[in-house]
Amino acid sequence: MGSIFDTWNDVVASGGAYYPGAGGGSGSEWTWVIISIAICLLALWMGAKHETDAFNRAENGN
Amino acid sequence: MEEQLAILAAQVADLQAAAAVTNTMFAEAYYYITIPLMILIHVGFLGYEMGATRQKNVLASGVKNILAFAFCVPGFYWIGWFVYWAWTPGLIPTAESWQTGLDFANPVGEVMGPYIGDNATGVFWGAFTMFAATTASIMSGAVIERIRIVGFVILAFVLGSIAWVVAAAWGWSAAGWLVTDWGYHDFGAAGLVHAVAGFFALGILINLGPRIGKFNPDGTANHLAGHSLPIVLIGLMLIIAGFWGFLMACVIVPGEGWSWFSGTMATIYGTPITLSALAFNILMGFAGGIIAAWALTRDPFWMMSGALGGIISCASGLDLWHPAQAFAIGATGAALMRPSYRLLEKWGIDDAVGAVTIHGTLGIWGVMAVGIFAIGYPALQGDPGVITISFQGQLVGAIVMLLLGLVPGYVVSWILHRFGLLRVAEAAELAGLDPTKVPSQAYPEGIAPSAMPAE
Repeated sequence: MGSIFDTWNDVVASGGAYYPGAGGGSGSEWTWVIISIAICLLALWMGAKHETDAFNRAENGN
Repeated sequence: MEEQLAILAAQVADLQAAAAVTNTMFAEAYYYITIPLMILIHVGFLGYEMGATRQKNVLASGVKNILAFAFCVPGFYWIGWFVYWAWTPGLIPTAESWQTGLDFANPVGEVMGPYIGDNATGVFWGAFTMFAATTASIMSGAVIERIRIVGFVILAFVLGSIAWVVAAAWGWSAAGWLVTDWGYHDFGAAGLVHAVAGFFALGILINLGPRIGKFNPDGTANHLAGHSLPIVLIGLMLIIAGFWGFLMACVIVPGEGWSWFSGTMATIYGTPITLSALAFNILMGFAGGIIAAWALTRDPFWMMSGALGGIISCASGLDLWHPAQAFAIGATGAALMRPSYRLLEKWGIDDAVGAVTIHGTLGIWGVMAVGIFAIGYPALQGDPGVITISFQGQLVGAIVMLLLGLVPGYVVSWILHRFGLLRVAEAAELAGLDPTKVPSQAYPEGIAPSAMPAE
């Protein structure tokens, strides 16, 4: 997933993408997109749990 | 002689190359600058929303608003930008439009990341992401003080990454069916951003219900004053400042491979425009809104809402109006605000900041103003015979925008309500959301608490 270029001149000459894994056919884009989605879903789950616990405390008068 | 000609030709080629680089850098910087300008819209909405909130809920409102912005960014990256490019033909993309989406907006493709030969995709995506976040911020204010955070984030995602984007694909693209088939014209997005977001909020409010204490048993409404009108006013003024970036981003600059013209700025429909036209009409619409609201209400909240409403009223035709006409259209929009707000209250709708009125009602007014006062203008760049702006075209567009907001807002919030993810617990609402769930205090040294009927 690292660089596929040896020099920055290669990057300029290619005129293309240069993020880690670009052009290598590694499918790293899918990996990172899925990880980013997973982080958001995890954050939502944690947020929902925190909010539910807080509301339960409020309803129980704590 | 031949040698001199060769030298001259080489110098001309060098100059052309330098001019092309300069133009590309200008185009990239132009859209890049719209992004921080549009972030001012979110600064403004943050202040607006927190100021309109009672002291016990201030930070919860702030957290909600910030999260709307944050979740819209990856949402628009994963799906929103693709929807804009792929959904132009209607409810179902064609193979061709789908391929266009893959070419320009594939989140697992190479152009959606650092790409040395592409100075446009990232800045266009960034500007559109700010539009997306604006829709979520518009909705956010309407639902303060009683919505659950996860339900809200899901709604912000649906609005910012799907609902308004479909509206943009249909009515804010030269390939969109509303434009090609009906001549729909909505330069500054009065319909596809403001009306969609406003009516999306209305769909939610129907399921969410009013804040405790908003309505009396006989149906009359109480005014639940926010804790800081000065913050509201500053917030609204910041939104106005951010609008300059928003509207600047609605312009296609000349001279690039993707530009409409080599030497003239264009609207997204390929029709000519200048930034001077925008400067005239934004300021005149803004002033018309404030002055009419002042004359009719004397209330600073409605005056600054009138400023926003004045611009929204003019937004669809900001490229076309005479400045004095923009003033009158903005003033008319401002005059519609309070009747619309009171009608909603009569129906039992608790729209805490007037979002449905200012963005929904006036968004529709803005679209229809073009259908009344700009009939016959060519709706697209092209030869004689190209489709023109019409009353019926704008009416169809207005109905579509209303439905693209109201229906998903209602349906998704209805589902969230059924799963218990929409409304906060009653005990938490009464105690305040800040002491219930926010691990910090807005005013640790205290300010005078507001006394509301519910308390």
